[in-house]
Amino acid sequence: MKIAVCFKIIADYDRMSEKDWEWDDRHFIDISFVRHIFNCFDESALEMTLKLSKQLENLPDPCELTALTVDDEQGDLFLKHLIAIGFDHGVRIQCDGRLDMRFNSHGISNLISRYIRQEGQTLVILGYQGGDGDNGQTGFLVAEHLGWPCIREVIEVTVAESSDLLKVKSRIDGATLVQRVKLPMVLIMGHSLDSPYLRVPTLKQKLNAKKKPLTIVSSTELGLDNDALHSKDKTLMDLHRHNPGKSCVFLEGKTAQEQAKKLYDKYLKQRLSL
Amino acid sequence: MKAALVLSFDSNSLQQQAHEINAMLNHTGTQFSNVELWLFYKDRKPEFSPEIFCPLSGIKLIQVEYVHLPESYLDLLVALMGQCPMDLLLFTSDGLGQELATRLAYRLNGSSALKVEDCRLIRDTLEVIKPVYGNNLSARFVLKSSPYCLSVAKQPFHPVKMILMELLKIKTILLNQTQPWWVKEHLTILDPPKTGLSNTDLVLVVGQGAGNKKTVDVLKGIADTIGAEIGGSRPAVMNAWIDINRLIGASGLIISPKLCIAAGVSGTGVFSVGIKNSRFIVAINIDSKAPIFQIADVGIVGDLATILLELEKVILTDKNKKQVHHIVESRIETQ
Ligand SMILES: Cc1cc2nc3c(=O)[nH]c(=O)nc-3n(C[C@H](O)[C@H](O)[C@H](O)COP(=O)(O)OP(=O)(O)OC[C@H]3O[C@@H](n4cnc5c(N)ncnc54)[C@H](O)[C@@H]3O)c2cc1C
Repeated sequence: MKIAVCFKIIADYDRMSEKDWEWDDRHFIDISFVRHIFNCFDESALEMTLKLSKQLENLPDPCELTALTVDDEQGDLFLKHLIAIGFDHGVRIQCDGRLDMRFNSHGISNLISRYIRQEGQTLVILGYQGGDGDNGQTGFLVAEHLGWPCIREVIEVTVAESSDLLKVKSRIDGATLVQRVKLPMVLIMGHSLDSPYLRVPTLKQKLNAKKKPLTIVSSTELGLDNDALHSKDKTLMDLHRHNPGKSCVFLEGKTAQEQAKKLYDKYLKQRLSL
Repeated sequence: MKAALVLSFDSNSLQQQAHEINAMLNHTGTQFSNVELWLFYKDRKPEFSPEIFCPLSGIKLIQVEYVHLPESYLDLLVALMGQCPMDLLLFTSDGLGQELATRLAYRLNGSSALKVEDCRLIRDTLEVIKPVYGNNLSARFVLKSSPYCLSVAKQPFHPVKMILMELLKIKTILLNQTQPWWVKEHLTILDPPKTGLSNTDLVLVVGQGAGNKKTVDVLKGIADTIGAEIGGSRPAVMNAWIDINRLIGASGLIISPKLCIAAGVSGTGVFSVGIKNSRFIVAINIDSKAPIFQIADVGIVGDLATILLELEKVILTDKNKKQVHHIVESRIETQ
């Protein structure tokens, strides 16, 4: 079985201070100095896939894992990390840097689905949302482009009796849905307690991964020029930073006891009807 | 402009979802010439519908056979849009609403956006406002082609009433539905009853800063003493310290208690959106620069466990004093 997991690395916004939230004429924000991390939903998707591949080892059909990202060179380090922990291929789709892909889930999903079709994968797994655009639409659109069914808010996946049948647990309104489904399929990860975090590679794994080449594919190689990738869905007009409008009163005190007493006497007592 | 509001009668959160759609209509309701309610149902035809805060020109009751499959809803919506085209469809804020908005717009060559907080018709185009950059910013977009399919933003808990539907306006839609080839078997396991978190006065929200499960268990005890419901940030939930149905934030619950104590949470945009509607926020964090202090009314820089244990003592002492006082008073009264 050929499985592709699509992931995105994002800036750790927690590390940004108020003054960093500034944008240029094209509404771009400089986040290059901020630490980048895996989007947490993608992290679950990647870890769950590694677990799934372990189960597939016992079946006759060999399993091939591809980690796929649409990004520039900053994605390479993360792809190496994924190769170190067990992915067979690290693939980066590179677009023309002049294109604004932040809010363009259509363009991103078009690129992903073309690659999937070209490589003959039968299972695509993605995180539920994340990144600058906060679009939350890429997985659904990959399913539409491919014409495949899709399950969202997935929390656990295991192999059913053969390699083209999976048992998928997902969250729906007020319930957990357990389905036995046939591939091909797109799975969109939700909050998975089964695979909350991505495993860490050992030093040896890291060194081995260094030697493995990554595959870099340009958007034109996938048959999509800038015109075809241009967003036909929406245009960004402007950005706005919310001002919480609050000024926090800090409670000082020599001891925690003093602080707690102040908090209770001054602010909580009248609010807690104890 | 013609609009349809798409809801599922069998949803557990129908009344809250209608509230969220009403919140959107508050901004835009008067801009539509014609608003219909499209209500999906499975077995029993509904007689009641949630109250919608704008005049409805019609109600379509649409029977859906495979309720757990978004593809079934999509096929029905495509067929229905063929029969009675709409310019705008408003979907719910949950996963199903997001999926339907996105995939329907794709199938009908329209435009879509999720978590939409506001939308306005400006001449012939639709402008929407939605959060971006992890809820740190909001963005205004122009959507390029109709039908516009929007999934609305989550709102604090405020379910609307159910009202009897006007019979004259109702039309029942029965369309052919094909069995999905990919599902071999399915089973639905219902959640335990909802927590009281969405609808309570006092909440203690715990984050990664708690450090370990043992401390969180102590904090749960404190929450009990002070009569608070407990909630958690994503890491607190993913570490299995706190139940997943108590997750607070953009991808969890949006709460609005009278008092919220946020302990050991950094206050990222995606988390803060879940508590910012609280009437009063107390933040406890060892880092004086943590963003949570930007939305807090009162802050303490310090170790959360130490401070909350002290707070529990202060509260218990006061409670005991009151009880003693109460006992003395009642003795005096009975003498
Ligand atoms: C698309 C997307 C959606 C998301 N949705 C949500 C969501 O709905 N809800 C959510 O919570 N997260 C969500 N997240 C994750 C979010 O980005 C943050 O990672 C998360 O909110 C951080 O949780 P935290 O504040 O508990 O942990 P951290 O960021 O690790 O912060 C811990 C805080 O505790 C403080 N601390 C440490 N020790 C102590 C101590 N002893 N006493 C007091 N303070 C201490 C630290 O100073 C720090 O500020 C989402 C992420 C993405 C990408």
